[in-house]
Amino acid sequence: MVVTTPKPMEQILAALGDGRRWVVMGCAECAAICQTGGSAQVDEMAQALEERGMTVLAAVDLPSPCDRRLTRRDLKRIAGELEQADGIVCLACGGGAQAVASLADVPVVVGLDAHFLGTVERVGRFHEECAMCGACLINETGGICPVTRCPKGLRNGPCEGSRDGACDVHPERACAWEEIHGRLEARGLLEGFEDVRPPLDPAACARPRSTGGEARR
Amino acid sequence: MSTTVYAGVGRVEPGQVDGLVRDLAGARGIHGVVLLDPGDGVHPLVLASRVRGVRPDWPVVVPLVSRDRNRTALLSEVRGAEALGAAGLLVLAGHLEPVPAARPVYELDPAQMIGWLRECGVGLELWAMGRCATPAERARCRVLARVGADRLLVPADGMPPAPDLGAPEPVALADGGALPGPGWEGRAVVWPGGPGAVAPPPALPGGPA
Repeated sequence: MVVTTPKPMEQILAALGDGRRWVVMGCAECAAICQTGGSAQVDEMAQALEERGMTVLAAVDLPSPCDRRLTRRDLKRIAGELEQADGIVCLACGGGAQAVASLADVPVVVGLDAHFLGTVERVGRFHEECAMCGACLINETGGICPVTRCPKGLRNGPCEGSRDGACDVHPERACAWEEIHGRLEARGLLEGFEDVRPPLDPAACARPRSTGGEARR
Repeated sequence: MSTTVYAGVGRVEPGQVDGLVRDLAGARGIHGVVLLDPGDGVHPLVLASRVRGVRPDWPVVVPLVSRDRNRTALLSEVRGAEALGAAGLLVLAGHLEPVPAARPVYELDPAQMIGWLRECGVGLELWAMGRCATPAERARCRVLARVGADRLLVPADGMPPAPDLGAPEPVALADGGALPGPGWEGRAVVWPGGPGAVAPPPALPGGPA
């Protein structure tokens, strides 16, 4: 899931400009799990805006803002409120906020910063374990992604700076490549460890990426 | 077996260059210079040029650090090193810590870089660096050898490398404190990386800071 954190309220207020009437939208998926854009945070944002003298015309939790099909449908349900609104405060990741912005006729102010594709340890504790590089190699590395876990993203490691099995950049952590070696050894799969993995093909990770054809905006 | 002694020079501030070059020019028992990760100090090609200016007989090994460099930038440094008459390239991923402003690009890691340099027709001697203390590190040594590394800098506390790497050619590395962290003082530089003798480092007069 996409891990997000709230933008500072001052930044959001600055982006609102002179607008007085707002629709607040959240995300019932990733942002809800992060507790940054679920129904509780949507209500809190609505309350914060009203406390500052603004009018909140609607406060809704979109099931999946990044899904244009669903969002198009959900925006139609509040078309009346949107007609009167100066804009939308969107508590979703940049993907969700942009999908909303592409479908709405009013300005969209994003209230969150998106950071990474994360796994969940517990609420509020998320870890980046996939860099979405477009060339997954964890079948060769015992299910550990060195592109993400190694701060240098090395596809062939360890680097020259690792010491006693510890990471060069974060000495309190184990070197990702030492972990990979340990796991492959435990599973009897070490024969592939010394294969040289080629660099990422820049074309494969050139932005913006799409599947199934160009994006229709 | 004779020992070749290199002076290892790491990060150098602009104000230290003249003193460093003066010290190196007057040093005895040194056979060459290995320039290490310069961090955000003086560019190694500048240092290489100055060293070649005072000791043209010395082989100079220039670092090629992939941190914050794409292939175009790397190749320009390689061509610069060739033009300066460098004897070799020390291929490094590089440390992030000394260069806070660096982006962790690492488009090519040392194993990829060595193969790529050979594909580009670079004829300089290629050096790599790293410990050989753990099975993963020893595996990395074998990979680097396979892809074309000619020499490997191994810290004393990282020895011995895997016994199957071949006969060692001991090279001692003298340094005045510029090596990357503890464990690298009085280094052996060995390739192929067998358990080579570690010659005591000669004292550099004044010692490069």
